Amino acid sequence: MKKFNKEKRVDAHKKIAGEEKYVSDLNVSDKLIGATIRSEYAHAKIEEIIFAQDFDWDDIVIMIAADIKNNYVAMIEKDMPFLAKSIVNYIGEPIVLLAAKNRKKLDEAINNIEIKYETLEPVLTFDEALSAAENKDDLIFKQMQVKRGNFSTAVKRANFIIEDMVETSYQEQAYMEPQGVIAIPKNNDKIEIRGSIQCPYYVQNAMDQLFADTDIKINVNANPLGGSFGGKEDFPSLISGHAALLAHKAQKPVEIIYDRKEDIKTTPKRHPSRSEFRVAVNEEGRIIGLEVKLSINGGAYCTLSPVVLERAVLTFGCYFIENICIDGYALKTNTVPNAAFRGFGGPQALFAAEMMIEKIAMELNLTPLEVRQINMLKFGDKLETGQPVNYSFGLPECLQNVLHKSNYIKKYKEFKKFNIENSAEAGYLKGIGMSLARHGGGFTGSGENYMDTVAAMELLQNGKLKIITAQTEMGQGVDTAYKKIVSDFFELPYSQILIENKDTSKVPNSGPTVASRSTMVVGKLIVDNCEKIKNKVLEEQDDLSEFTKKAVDYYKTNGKLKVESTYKHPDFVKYNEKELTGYAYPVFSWSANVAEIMLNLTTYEIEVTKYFTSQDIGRAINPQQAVAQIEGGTVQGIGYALFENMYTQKGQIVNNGFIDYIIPSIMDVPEIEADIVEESYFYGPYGAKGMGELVLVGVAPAIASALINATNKLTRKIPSTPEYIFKLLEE
Amino acid sequence: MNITFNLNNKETTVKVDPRQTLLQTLREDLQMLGTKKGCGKGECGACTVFLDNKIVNSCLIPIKQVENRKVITIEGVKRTKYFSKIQKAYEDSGAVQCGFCIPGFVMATVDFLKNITDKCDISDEEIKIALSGNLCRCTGYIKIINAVHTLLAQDLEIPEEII
Repeated sequence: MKKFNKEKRVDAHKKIAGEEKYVSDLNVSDKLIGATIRSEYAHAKIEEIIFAQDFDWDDIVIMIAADIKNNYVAMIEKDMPFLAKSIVNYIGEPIVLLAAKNRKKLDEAINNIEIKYETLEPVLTFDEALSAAENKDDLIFKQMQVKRGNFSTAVKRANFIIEDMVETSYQEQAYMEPQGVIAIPKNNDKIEIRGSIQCPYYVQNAMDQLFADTDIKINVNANPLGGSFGGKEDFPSLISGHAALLAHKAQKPVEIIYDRKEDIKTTPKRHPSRSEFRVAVNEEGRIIGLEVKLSINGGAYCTLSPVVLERAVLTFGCYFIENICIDGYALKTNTVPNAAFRGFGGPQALFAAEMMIEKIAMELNLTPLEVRQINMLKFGDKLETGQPVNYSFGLPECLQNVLHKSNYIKKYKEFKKFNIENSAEAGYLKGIGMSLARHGGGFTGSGENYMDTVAAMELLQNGKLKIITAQTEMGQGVDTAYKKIVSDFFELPYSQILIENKDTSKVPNSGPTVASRSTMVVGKLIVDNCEKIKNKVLEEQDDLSEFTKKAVDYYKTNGKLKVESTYKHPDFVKYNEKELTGYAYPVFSWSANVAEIMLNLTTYEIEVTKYFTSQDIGRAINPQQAVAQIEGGTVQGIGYALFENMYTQKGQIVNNGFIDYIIPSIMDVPEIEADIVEESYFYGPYGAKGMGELVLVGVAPAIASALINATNKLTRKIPSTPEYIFKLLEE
Repeated sequence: MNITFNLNNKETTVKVDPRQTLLQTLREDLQMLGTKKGCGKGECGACTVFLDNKIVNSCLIPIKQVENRKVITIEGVKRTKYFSKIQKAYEDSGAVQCGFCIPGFVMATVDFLKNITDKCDISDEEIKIALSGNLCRCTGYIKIINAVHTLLAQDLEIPEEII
């Protein structure tokens, strides 16, 4: 076979030429534009919606809650309505939908609607939510506990009891392409949804429930996404419902594409969190007991908060802790509902765990590396759920790599010396910090086994193979990874391999494109399908050189060949979801990270100057794009650590766009040295495991650790803005 | 009202509201869809085009201001000889993920390569400054910087008139 660059992305060529068709490029004729009228109050009773009598409403399509029979967005719970009926629970909650021929007409209509409210007492802050939740259970979406051993006996044996509290703020996904869908009605009884949709079958399920008891059939077709990072996991179900309701009523296509301000103010974000920890440590610095109360702010509706919380409580660091009790709470507040964002609870928990290590180091006068080394998981150790770490465990190698490359030990001392002797003159402090991180591949617990994930593959007349899954291309490179898996298997060029559109009428439900599962779980099914096709076409022979010729012959003789495979975890992967014990994930990916920073003593600005990371992701299917993920995740993590500062005032998100929600620009990029450790996972495709989220989760704690090296104060909050650092140094 | 301007070397007349933006005109009235809308406020650079051979955020330019002037979009640039080299450099460097910001980065890259006199010893810092008007959320920018370094080594000829 002619050699070709298999790492080159299959979608890059047209994207560079501006030829990729995102949802806003679909150019559907005769469409209407949809708009959403939203609550101005965080908590209120809707008294009346007044449509001005002297306005001509003839050309305007209107929907209110009373028009919707099954007025709930199907997700984990059914608590979130498509449109608020009598009570609004957050600023920005949809109340009225409108559609019109053009924006001008729409704006006129919006100005002729008035909503009267009776305001109610909102629950807005962590403090309010935590104290309210003590008396009212319905302010907790989910409560769960991971427990092993006995914390109070550990306390008796301990030499030190160390307590503290750390907080993480919102993070906005800030995909470059805003949320958008278009609903296209066909023949009165069909609606096609096209859009920037991460998980087409989530939307399918939500639409099936919305239109249950009607003759309307829905299909969902996910366009290539202009970024998502989790932000288009659950939310497209809401906005697709809006477009579909309007389109069905109008019997015309309806497009809803958010502008940046609407997107930033009303769509889900990373959950703010608060972790209060009490840790029992012996005189050597070994953690013998840990008690954590970890709370996340879920916002006004449940969305995915219970599963975000579950991943958070199951990701508390990379340390062996014999006696441990983590209590997790997902709290309800009158703020925008929060949901999925790359890492999915992991970043919050890992920040708290790593700051706990730093605090122990400060109290015991040890180095942060020493405390990590004393407590780090060893091969064969059991995690808090009882799951042993006895395969695909590359963490020790990652740590060794990153220490070696960064020269951490030497610089740690040098920087401290510099800060004492030279910083005043230089005008800045230097810092070097580190973190250890893990991320479980696939859904938490038994999720994958419940899913019955199915992927298909078809042999076409010309001997080409078509990969058929619901996994969407949102920039992560799944289309390229899948083609490479098949190409490697059959030694075929990419031109012989096709990928089916991510259209629910054409692809089986291979599960959502989330949880670092697309390569690990669905990729495995692709290998299984390759095996099945090979066995049919080559009849157990191993000579692949004539595959295409034999495939054409096979088709001539036998006709179409379509195979399917269904995913099941390895047999021993069992999880008790009541007790939170057993295998929380079939495998973990691991990373060790070192960040170097400079802290300007005049402006308190922090610059990340160097970043070293070593990541165990199993076999890298596409090494170039694996590194690209690491670089992208690192830079996103720098934003999370330092300057992506989103907050609410009286329940209102204050940020309006990229002018006041600062995501990293090209000027903020440090030198990044990344390496990949390939600790093979026996059950993944060619040994691969998850990586898309791992790349982000360790970044913020490494930077916070570097800040501690610079300031000698515990970093209790991210983003660590100049204002925060100023206050910290003034303490 | 009717507005006439030169779009990718073609005299173009559109009937539009003079207050609407160049971006809106390109995308909605002319179906030139390669130019993307990321923010609509001049913050992200996804809508970068050339106006009289200088890069601008097309979302900030009222269409009336474009009258009798020259606009070049990605659709124009992609027809040039040098574009295939830019395309290859971005592809080979692995500089593209979701791709939504990339046409904007291509325009900024063309502008940088056109204006630079001495292509030897260009630092990362100079490339960063040149591309600092464009945001990308996926790549972490490093592979984009690598792509530009590759192009600097190739001595591309970009005409004063871009296309």
